[in-house]
Amino acid sequence: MKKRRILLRFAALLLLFCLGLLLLSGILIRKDLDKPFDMTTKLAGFFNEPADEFDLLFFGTSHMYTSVAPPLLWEETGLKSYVLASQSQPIWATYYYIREALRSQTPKCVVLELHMFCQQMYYDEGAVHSAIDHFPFGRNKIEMAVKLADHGDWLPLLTPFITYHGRWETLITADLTYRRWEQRDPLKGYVLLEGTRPLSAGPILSRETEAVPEENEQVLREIIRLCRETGVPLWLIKTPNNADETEERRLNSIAALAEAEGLPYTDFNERYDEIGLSLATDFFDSQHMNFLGAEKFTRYLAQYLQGALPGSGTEDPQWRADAGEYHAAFDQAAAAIA
Amino acid sequence: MLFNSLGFLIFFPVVTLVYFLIPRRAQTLWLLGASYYFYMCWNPAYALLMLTSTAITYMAGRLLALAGGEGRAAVLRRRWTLALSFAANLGILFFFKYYYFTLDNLNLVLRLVGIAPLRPRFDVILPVGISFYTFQALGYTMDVYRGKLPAEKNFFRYALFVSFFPQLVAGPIERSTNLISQIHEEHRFDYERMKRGLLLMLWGYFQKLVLADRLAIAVDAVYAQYTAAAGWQLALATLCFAVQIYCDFSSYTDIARGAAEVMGFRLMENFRQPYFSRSIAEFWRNWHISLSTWFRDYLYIPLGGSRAGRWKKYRNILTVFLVSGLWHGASWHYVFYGLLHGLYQVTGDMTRGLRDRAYRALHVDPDGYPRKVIACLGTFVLLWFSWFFFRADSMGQAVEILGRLTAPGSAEGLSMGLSARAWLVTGFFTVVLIGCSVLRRRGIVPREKLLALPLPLRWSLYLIGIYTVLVFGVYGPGYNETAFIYFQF
Repeated sequence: MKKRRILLRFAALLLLFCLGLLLLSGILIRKDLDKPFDMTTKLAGFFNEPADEFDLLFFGTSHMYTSVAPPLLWEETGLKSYVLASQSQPIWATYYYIREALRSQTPKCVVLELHMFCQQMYYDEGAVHSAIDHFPFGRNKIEMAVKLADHGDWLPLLTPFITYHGRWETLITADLTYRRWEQRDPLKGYVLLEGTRPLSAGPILSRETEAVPEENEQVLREIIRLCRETGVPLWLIKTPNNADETEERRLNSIAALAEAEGLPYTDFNERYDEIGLSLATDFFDSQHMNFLGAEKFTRYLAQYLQGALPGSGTEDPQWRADAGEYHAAFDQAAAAIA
Repeated sequence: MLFNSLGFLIFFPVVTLVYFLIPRRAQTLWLLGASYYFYMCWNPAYALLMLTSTAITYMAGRLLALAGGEGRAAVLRRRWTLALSFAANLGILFFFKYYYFTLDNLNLVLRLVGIAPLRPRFDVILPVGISFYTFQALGYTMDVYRGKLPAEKNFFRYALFVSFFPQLVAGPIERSTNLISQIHEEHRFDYERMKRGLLLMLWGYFQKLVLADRLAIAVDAVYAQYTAAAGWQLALATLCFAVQIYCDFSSYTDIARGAAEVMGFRLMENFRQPYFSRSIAEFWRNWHISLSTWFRDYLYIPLGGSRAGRWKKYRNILTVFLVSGLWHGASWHYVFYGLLHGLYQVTGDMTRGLRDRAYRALHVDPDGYPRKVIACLGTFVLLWFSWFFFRADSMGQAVEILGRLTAPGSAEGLSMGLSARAWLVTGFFTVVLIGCSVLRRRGIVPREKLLALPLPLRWSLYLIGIYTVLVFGVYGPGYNETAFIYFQF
């Protein structure tokens, strides 16, 4: 058979093969679809939102996504926001999350929660996959994979098929019915935690400073530079998490960096009384607020932002409906406690 | 380089592509370089050893050619050349494979006599494939000695014969009369031949990744904790092992033959539906054929074969199978495995008349279908029994495991490592395997049938086959669900 025909046939078969592989990959990839930790929906859902929709974008770790409820924030301020965070999110992932989000959004402010910047970097399989698996493919994802890879093994991070092909053994119906383009999170990235764990100790504030690991500072400076270049204001915060002394000392050094860079910095661990947080009722575990704490914090944030960032003020039926869903979830959680 | 590795999936197309683009004169050198590279991926030092064996047997071949003639001196010279070649190569094999085994057993004896044991003076690592290429090279020496083919004058061509990467590491153990002449031929790209070769490789990958490596999970789980396993689990695990080892071994041959076929080489068949055999003797004519025939031609027949009378025949069979057992591994349980198979055949031969009479007495047609089925099942049971000795880590462990076949196992039970879905899928694919084997037994070659189908159906089956291997195959880093559950935050 002529060479050209052979090559054409081979190309056609290869194309079919790749299409089939993409389809299988979508079925087999691991998905988090069970509330309240439906992280796949939250992440994929963000990229299905309209462009230039959000006034505020929140980034960081589980501390971020358990603290702020965007539907409530909108109700209080008219500001539309989304929490684009994942558990123990490696800080390089956060950088690329911001970079990717700013491709389709023009927020008035990017809010960065600093917990992971105070930790030594380490490879965590769950954290890396949670951050990267459902991230849209593109230059940012490739660069993220290279940065996050364990011992340079970045290819499996970009080809979930290799990692997850064995999931045929545990496939469920949801795997087959999942449609990435249909994902939508009414809670806008917020994870509502039911349950309460009364705590005896709160944050241990400190006046001293301790330098954060050098690479962490490097990433933070990259994020600062990114926001400057895009012309988006950056706000560095620490959500209430009963930080220990080491974290507080490291936060203090970041505070100093923020001041030197002329960036707003707020450590909400210092404001439990103003927020009205109670160690007895408002925490899910030692590091995360529950739904009660998150509501208090979101309302406090709303007041804090009022005046500083004017909202659009217009009614939005979709956001109204989403706020309704938030309240329904809140009430259900409250009823469970009663 | 393992066949089931990303490296090989890149190596093979590159080597093949270049192979067909370069002029004929360069083809041998290219393949030789590629084969040595392939081998050196394990350990560069191994290649040196293989080169040594290659050099020795090459020179032996040349010397045998030079010592031609009928005179007594010439015959003597040829005998000595042969003997030295065998001694040198078997010496190398013996040292690298059986050093520790010999030392351990020697120490056993020394301890009994009250002498302090000997300590190994150095670390000896077993080079991959040494049993295979050594036998292949020795086979060549013997063939030249017997005048079956002229000695190869071109060192590079001969070196390629020894190191040809598709069959270097796990066979088939090729005959010089088959492979060397093919190395002299020119090979051009052939589209139809390439499809055949690739399909055979795909079938090999299916057997290895989907069946063998998955069954290995269950087998390893039980054998690793056999004291906790129930008797039926030990029996089932060994049954699974029977399928596992067949798939593992024959898959390697299929990938080797398929790869060689793509490049235009025809390697010998190594397995012919061995589990359908109706006797152990027949089994060895259909299992690891290249090794069995090697032993037949280079050990059994020189010992006299079956021509020197009944008892000599039995002696020869037992000798060959003892050596065969030892060839499989430097451990007593392998030796016993070999001995067992030797005894099976001797006993089978001795009792054939008795069994014929028994069938006649029961009014069962000795040539009929029921007997064939009984023979097949009976043979399989004998094989299953022998696999206990092959899979166990030692004689003691094998005996202990057999002793536990009626045991209830520990109170908590032992997981065999596979989910219900995995068992179902494995069972399904085993049925597919058996189905294809039945077709082959009846002379139908599934590959040929597939290639004759219309394009849309053919391509669908190609894709289904590839996806089956990619989805159900055991490979890759996998992922740990607990990494996600624990780190919800």
